[in-house]
Amino acid sequence: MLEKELKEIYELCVNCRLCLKECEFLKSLFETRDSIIVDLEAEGANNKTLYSCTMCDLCETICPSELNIGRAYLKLRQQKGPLPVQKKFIDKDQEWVLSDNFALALPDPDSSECQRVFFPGCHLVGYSADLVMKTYEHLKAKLPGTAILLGCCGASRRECGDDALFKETADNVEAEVKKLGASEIIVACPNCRYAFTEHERSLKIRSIYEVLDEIELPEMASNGERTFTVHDPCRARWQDEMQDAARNLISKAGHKIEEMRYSRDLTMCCGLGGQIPYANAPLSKTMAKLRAEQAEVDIVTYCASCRDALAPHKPTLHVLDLIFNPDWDEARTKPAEKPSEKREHQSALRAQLLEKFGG
Amino acid sequence: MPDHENPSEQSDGKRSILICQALGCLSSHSDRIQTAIEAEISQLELADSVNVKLTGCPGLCQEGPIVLIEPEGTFYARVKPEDAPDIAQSMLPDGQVVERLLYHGDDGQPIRNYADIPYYVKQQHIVLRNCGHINPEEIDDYIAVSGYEALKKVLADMAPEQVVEEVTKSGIRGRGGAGFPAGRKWAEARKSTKEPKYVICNADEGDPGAFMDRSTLESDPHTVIEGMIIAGYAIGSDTGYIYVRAEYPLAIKRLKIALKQAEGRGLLGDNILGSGFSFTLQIREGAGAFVCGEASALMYSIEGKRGMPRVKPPRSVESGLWGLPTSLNNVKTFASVPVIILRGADWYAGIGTPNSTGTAVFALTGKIVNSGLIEVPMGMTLREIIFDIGGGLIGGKEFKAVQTGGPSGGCLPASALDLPVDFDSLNEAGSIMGSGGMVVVDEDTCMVDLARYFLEFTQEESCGKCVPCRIGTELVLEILDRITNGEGKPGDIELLEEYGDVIAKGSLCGLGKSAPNPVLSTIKYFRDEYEAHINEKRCPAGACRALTSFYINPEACRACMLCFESCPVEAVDGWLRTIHIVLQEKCIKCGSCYDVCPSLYNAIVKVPVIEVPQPPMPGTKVPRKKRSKC
Ligand SMILES: Cc1cc2nc3c(=O)[nH]c(=O)nc-3n(C[C@H](O)[C@H](O)[C@H](O)COP(=O)(O)O)c2cc1C
Ligand code: SF4
Ligand code: SF4
Repeated sequence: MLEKELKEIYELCVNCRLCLKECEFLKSLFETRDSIIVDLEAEGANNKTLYSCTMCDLCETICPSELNIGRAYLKLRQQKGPLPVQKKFIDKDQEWVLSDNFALALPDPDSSECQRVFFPGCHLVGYSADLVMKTYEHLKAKLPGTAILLGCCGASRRECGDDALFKETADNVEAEVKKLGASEIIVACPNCRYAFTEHERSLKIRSIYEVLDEIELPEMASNGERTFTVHDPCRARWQDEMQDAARNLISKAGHKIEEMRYSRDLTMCCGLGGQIPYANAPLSKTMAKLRAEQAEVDIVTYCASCRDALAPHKPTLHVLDLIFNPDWDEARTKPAEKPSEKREHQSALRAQLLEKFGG
Repeated sequence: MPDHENPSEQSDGKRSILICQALGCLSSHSDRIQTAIEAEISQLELADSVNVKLTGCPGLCQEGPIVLIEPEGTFYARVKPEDAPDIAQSMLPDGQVVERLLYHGDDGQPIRNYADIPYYVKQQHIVLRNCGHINPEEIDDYIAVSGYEALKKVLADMAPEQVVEEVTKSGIRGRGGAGFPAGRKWAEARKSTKEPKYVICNADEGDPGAFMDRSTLESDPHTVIEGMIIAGYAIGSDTGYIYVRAEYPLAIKRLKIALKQAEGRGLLGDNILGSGFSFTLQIREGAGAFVCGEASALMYSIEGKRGMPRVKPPRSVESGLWGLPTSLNNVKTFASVPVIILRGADWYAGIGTPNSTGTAVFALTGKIVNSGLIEVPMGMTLREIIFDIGGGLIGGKEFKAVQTGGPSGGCLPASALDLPVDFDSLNEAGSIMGSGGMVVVDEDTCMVDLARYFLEFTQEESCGKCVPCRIGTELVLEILDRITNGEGKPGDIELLEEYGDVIAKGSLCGLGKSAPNPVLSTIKYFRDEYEAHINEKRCPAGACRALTSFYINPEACRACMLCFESCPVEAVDGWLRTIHIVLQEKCIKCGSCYDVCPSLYNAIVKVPVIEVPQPPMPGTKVPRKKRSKC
């Protein structure tokens, strides 16, 4: 199964053990490099090793030979499929976000030509329908011809090994974008971006942060004089443009940035990656706590899931809060909401959009 | 291993598990392996069909602890006590060979029989014939492999003169270094009319790094004892001494056991085997000075005097120990005698070259893949020894030189690789056979520094009696120190040659006479290295600290952080994904970073102090090579 991966490890691993020292997942389940190899050779001795990897690519970044243990585990997950509990929850969630409860495609009613599609993803909407609405309105005003598409990229399917369903979900998004008459998609979630690049696509993909960095920002944005640190989402690893843009937005909002040692390409996972809460909830919690505790000042991130994972341990904002939410100071400590509440936000946004722009 | 009947095929028809308990393997707790295997064997109720026993060194020490299964010859390498159950299981009637413990050849394939391991294929064991195959603490084991047969033959069928004649005819030359024909020495000792006469075995073995004699005594003490009794009979002596350095406690212990057992069987003592010939043997422990290995110094030492060489003549065969006729030989010389007697002088003389008959034992060490004790026919080329038996250099590095003969010997370069190894050709090339040290060095060894190392040794060990030796070695060492410190001056090389000449000519014993060899031979073959040190302040091998800096090639560094972690003085700056930098002002040049940098990257290089390139800005990122899709 993993012949290629193991061969690479045998040839290129120099046994520096950096992955074992830096990755919480490997650190928690393995003592030596060889025990990792043994587990891979056994194709994942148990579900714990197989489904505890956050797939965050930290291993590849720090490995001097750029080996990726997570990719090997992903391959095994693809062979074995999701855990029943993962499957149950993800099926339910996908059914919701892909149905008329949330999914929606709306062209810009004030423009005859569709230039691009804003795809906020599901997590950000679950975090705040209001933020997304304001972001879209701003985009639409500054960049006429911007449509909005509500739906899901299917990244959760990918991470638990359900590759066929993942591809189908992401393909559908591409089809919807095309149907709207555009070939550029503007994502708000780094997970979506990662998901859309996994397969060959004829889409131009940019993040909302890069786009906002290029256009004029709303009045309220320049309101602060705080110092924040940036938690780069793991899916923004190696995405220099996105990393830079997020920082530029914070600076433009008037704040200072104090970097953590593990930032940008070296960022650590918030603990929600790889769908690990289903298989190893304690590890997921530990990782969130560890990451949050590295911050000496409040955190700004640009992934809604990261925001909710870190907030219980350290005040955390989404970068869009700083630009579009006048009450951002309160949002710092807002607890993560329940799935049912998030669904309410998702439905609410759909209804508001239809009302405002549905013609 | 041709010419060596399998000694462990014992009459009791049992199979044997032989566990090496020579120093190397013992230090990896091979005694625990034995206990563990014994327990497993008795649990499997195999004790009636399987012997478990300790043995001496079968060579190939770096593969130790070694376990041999006889009579099949199955060779298990790097055995641990945890492997005991599997090894015991393999002895069941339907037991399977424990594949994972087999020795693996260059091609990665397991080799089952030790005789097929390349290391052994080209060897011929005479001195080492029983090493690793018998229990050195059991006289019956030795007897089972024709032990003491030679003694019986001599006492029953041969006159002393015939014995001397046989040894002379075999052509065997002393294995202690000088290569004096043993038969001639015995004949002269026999001729002397004074009585009593003495036989001495020289087991002082003072060369740094040598362990041939120790290993022989630890693995097969009886063969040395048998050789000495035969020598006693041949020259007409009734008393022998084994002079062994006190740092060899295991050898001494096994010798003592062996002496007691031989006495118990009437092979030693009064009226041996009813022949009327009597011979006693005593052990004398030496304090370990190198010079005490020299024959006349050694005899003074046994007499309780200070061990210093004396002027010859008179020769020891006329006036040796206590002024009486004495025949002194090396351990390996004696160990060869029983084989010469049993197989005949002609057979022995047929091995090796006309002027250097028989086999040579070497302790093969240094940057060599298969280090350990080896025994080869004289006349084999250095190339065969180093590459076929030794398996070439570690890490596939370039062969640079081979040092033979220890502090009295010299260094030979690659151009000498096809030289046949025997007493005369090594001498001609500027080195010596010595007692069997053979150190292989690669490109990372500085030849000036190597010469300095040996000179430091001889200077320290000089007994001080001869002025040229005492003062001369001091002067030479001082110059070598200067050169390796980057303070060499033009003319130093000529000065070294001049002093070398004076020391060699003006010294009484072999220590002084041969002390300049390491320097003169390296000047002869590696003069350019001396010149680079002196004229360019550069050590081409990157070994001399004062002249060498460690530098991380920014293009090759992959930020594995191994160097960062290994540096004892925090002189490496670096972090994840960040190109590492040696902070020259903090570096103490210990070389740890150089050693740990993975060979896959080879990012750390040695550069002359005067040419250290500018490192990159601290914090410079390692470029990503591959990019997972994202
Ligand atoms: C400084 C010095 C050290 C020596 N050390 C040893 C030694 O450790 N063992 C040895 O057998 N011969 C040594 N010899 C050689 C002995 O003097 C002597 O030649 C040799 O033991 C004779 O035995 P052989 O004829 O069997 O070689 C040494 C010679 C010198 C000059
Ligand atoms: S050991 Fe070598 S590759 Fe690793 S960080 Fe140091 S210089 Fe770089
Ligand atoms: S040579 Fe030793 S002291 Fe110098 S950088 Fe390397 S490890 Fe540190």
